[in-house]
Amino acid sequence: MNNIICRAEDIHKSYYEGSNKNILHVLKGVDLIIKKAEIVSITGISGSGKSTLLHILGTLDKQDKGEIYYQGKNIKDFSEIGLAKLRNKKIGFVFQFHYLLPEFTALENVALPAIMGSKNYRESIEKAMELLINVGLKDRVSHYPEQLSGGEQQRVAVARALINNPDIVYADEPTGNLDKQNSEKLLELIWNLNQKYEQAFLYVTHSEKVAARANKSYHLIDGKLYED
Amino acid sequence: MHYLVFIISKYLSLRGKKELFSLDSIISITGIIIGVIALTISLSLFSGYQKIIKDIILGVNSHIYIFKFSNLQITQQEYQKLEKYLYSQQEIEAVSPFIYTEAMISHSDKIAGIILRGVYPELEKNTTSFAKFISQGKINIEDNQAIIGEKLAQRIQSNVGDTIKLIIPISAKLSPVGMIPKTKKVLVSGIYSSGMYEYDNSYVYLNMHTSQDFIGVDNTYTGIAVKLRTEHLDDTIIISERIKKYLPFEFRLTNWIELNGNLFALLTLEKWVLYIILSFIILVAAFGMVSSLIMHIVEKRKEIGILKSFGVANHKIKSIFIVKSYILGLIGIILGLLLGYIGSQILGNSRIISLDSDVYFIDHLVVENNPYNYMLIFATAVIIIVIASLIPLRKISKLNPVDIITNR
Ligand SMILES: Nc1ncnc2c1ncn2[C@@H]1O[C@H](COP(=O)(O)OP(=O)(O)OP(=O)(O)O)[C@@H](O)[C@H]1O
Ligand SMILES: [Mg+2]
Repeated sequence: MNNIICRAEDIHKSYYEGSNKNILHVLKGVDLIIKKAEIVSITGISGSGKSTLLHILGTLDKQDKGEIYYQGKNIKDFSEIGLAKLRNKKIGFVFQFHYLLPEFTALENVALPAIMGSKNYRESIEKAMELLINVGLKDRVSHYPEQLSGGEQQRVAVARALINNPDIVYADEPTGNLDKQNSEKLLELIWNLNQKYEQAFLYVTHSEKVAARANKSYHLIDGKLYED
Repeated sequence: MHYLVFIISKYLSLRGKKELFSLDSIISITGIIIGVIALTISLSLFSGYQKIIKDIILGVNSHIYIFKFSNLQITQQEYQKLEKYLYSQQEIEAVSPFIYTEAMISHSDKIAGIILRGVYPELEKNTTSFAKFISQGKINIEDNQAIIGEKLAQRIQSNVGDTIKLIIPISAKLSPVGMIPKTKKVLVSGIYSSGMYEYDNSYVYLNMHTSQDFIGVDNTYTGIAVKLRTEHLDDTIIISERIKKYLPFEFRLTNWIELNGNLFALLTLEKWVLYIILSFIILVAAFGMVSSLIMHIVEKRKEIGILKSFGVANHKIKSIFIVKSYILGLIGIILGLLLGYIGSQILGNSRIISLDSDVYFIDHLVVENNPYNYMLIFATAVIIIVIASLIPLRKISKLNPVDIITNR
């Protein structure tokens, strides 16, 4: 029980198509348990609701029905600030497109969640430095995002997701727009980091091969998760 | 280090400056600067005007005047008793008796109505700024000599050394041919220049003896001027009441508040009206800032979404935008105050603008750099900017990170 980080029960989510009042029932009762240091993959056809599920699990979006617990606490009981804190301390995100802040250097981008979480500035920068070295960007720390390649930006995003030692990192097609070599490197990196920091990873992918490498892989079909 | 310090230092870095001083930021700062300049210059000039008017009016006149009803003269006996009483009041600095009457003056075919003032110059200089305002000649007035107002001298084309004729139509003797005005020739020994048109255009000072002789009274006075110690100026009404109780029934009393209080109150009111109207310029400029802040927030939606996704609470994101608009606002206010100070100095010292002294009492602008005005303007501008910035910030809470991240 203690090593369950996140538990989702019977998650439903529908979208209302603006004009013609059609209800699009995307998630139809998803159950999921993520344990400490576990690597989980989710596959599914485009439009099946993978990103939607990730956003709901990551508290960025709200489910219509169902409960989500982080370390046994229902997130419905959290205030807005409480949720922000949960996202800051316990959850890391890597988006399909590497959303870095253009005004900040790679190092600052990585350190930002720590600094904004009111951690000590120097410690934050040091930790960011360590992470950037780990993701192989030692020489790129003071570059701005526009000066980095896609793969490099994605690695910065991974480093940023890890800065606050989250319990879990949600990655939405982290290798989606990387070439084969860079994808391979990034996955390698995730496994290395998982070994080193014992963070759980949940990643969405289109590649069966990549999915199969996880400790547990799920398929999202018709709004429900099926374990492989 | 606090996250805001980090963000501020980021804005002040080379790359951040470009962002901070984008074109629309500069335009919105300019509005603030102009508003603050307008407010600073106007208030400095208006305060200067107010101060100089007050200085002159309270310099030419004393604070409390004692007369007798129906324009009866005050006798020596009465005066001596009153003088003794007045000097026993600790708030009173000086007392001086005077002759005051309307008369006419003529010189080189010119004739003008005047106010004739008979004084003991030695006493008068203690109750008014008489001595300070003598621009030519000595303070002391010999018998059959006169000190006349500067504008009056110009009007009748006379100068120090000229002989002029004084005429009193009212105290004329009755004769078979009707009223014969009484006249007297006196030598102009000095020029009086207070800076206030009304006085400089009408005052003629004689010494006490000459004036008493001229109007035909026997060592009596028209009134008594009383000067209060400066620190008791605000107690004028209380002191007046106390003196009034002491005065015998045939005496009456007036003071500077009764004589000019309305003018001072009006000037103060005008200053506040000016302040309120000009504050609207800042308000309008602040709305310019608001719209550029809204644009900025819309532009940064993506960044806001990212910050939210890694758990930066709304209030922290807001504070980043607040910091930006405060830095800009503060720069605008400080530059505005500085330029306003310089501008008012230039206007006040160079006499670029001259006033019609018939209308404005004085003929040039004077600047009063009252720190209180500067603080008032600073506070006003800060409050307006703070309140105006709050409006667009509400937008930030409403931005949904998922919408932004998924680009919907
Ligand atoms: N805010 C929204 N409003 C309306 N419909 C939405 C919204 N968000 C998602 N959808 C719809 O819900 C479905 C699931 O979207 P989602 O982005 O979760 O799919 P996905 O599995 O991540 O797809 P992809 O593999 O292409 O990223 C889609 O049909 C999408 O059009
Ligand atoms: Mg998706």
